[in-house]
Amino acid sequence: MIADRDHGSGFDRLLEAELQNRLGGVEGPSPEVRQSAYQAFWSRRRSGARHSGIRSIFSRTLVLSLAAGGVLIASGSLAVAAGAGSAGPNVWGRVITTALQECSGQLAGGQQGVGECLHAVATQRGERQPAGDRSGTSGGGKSNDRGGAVSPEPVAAGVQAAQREDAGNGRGQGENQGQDLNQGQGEKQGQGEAQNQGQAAAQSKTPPGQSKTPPGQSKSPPGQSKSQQSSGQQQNQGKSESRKGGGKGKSGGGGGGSSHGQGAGPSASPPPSQ
Amino acid sequence: MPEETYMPGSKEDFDRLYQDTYQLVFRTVFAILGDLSAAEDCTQDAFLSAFKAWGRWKADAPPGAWLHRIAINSAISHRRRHRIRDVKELVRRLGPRADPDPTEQAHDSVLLEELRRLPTKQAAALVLRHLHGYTNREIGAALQVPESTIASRLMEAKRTLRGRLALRSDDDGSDTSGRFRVSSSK
Repeated sequence: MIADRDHGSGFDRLLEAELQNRLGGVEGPSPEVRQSAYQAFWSRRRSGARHSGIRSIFSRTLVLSLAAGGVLIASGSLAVAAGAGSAGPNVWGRVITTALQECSGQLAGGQQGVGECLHAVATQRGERQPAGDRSGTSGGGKSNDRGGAVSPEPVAAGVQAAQREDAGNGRGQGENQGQDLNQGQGEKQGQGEAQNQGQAAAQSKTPPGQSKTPPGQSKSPPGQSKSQQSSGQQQNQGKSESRKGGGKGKSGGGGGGSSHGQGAGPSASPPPSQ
Repeated sequence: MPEETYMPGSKEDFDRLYQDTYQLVFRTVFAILGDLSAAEDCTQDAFLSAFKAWGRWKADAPPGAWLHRIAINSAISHRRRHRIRDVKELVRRLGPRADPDPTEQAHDSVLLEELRRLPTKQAAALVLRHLHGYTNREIGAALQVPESTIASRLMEAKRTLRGRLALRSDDDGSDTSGRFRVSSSK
């Protein structure tokens, strides 16, 4: 152990002597600050900062100018649009032309004041029109909503169309309505008829509004309803029944469907919705 | 190491630090790399990195030790890049690598050759300990590793160095270094 330490310390001494001998005299290039890499970096950063400061001032001014210009243009457009009730120049032109004609008509010959009249019209229009535009837009949305609320499916649309038609006629045209449904709905209509066939006997005294069960809810197979439709007896029965239903006004549509299968179809369909 | 006070972030103080410590750092890097131009590049890189971080330097450690850590890391990176470049060059030429430029190896010796074959961290610990005279604690503070780690690195480095020097003297049949005839047996 002692020998090891001596050996180690001897090696350390030799190592230090050799390192000092070989490396102690090594001199790098002159450590001039102005030749150093960090000095170059510092100078570059300082000049860059100066340039970037100038650049930032210029860019800030430019951005402010552009923003001010944009605000001016936008406010002008808004003013025009507010006056016309629309951003479209054609609309504004039409408004002014109409107003001019109206004002000219109102004023007697030679009387002045068209400008005031025009101004009044334009102001009135500007106050009124945007609200009108908004209500018109929302009205369209409402009507779309209504359409969507009925049903996007052709089955429901067909039923509604049949109901509307029936209500307009005042008397139920069962067979015709049924045909309408068939035309519009194809196989699904067949299902609806099958359902109505099942309901028909029980519905003879039901109020008209209760026969609005969507045909798509039927569980009877389409083929079954088609075969029932094809029998002449059933069609005749449907006609007579539909006339009864037609007398009850709006229920004629449903009656039209139900008339086909009264007393003939198996009543596998659910009870009519209330 | 000059014990002077420096103000973090002060350009004038960093200039002073640069002039005070440049040669020490350069020697350390040269001892590790064995290449004058590479050592100069790494030293400049180290001072540049130090300058960028100068505002964050804390005076709880000597600035020289801090600079040495940065310089050693720079040397490690250089060595890694150099090895990759050597492999690429070897693959490109498909032959033996060219002999190093003698002007770049002016201060080479057997000991330095073997020292440079050591892992960089071990070589750095040896140089800091036996060339600059740092204690293990100072080296640990400089390299941000425990003192015990420095001790084990130094021990491992010396053992490897002794073994390789002994092998070389056996192969040559003579004392190549003149002063490093040491037994490989401990």
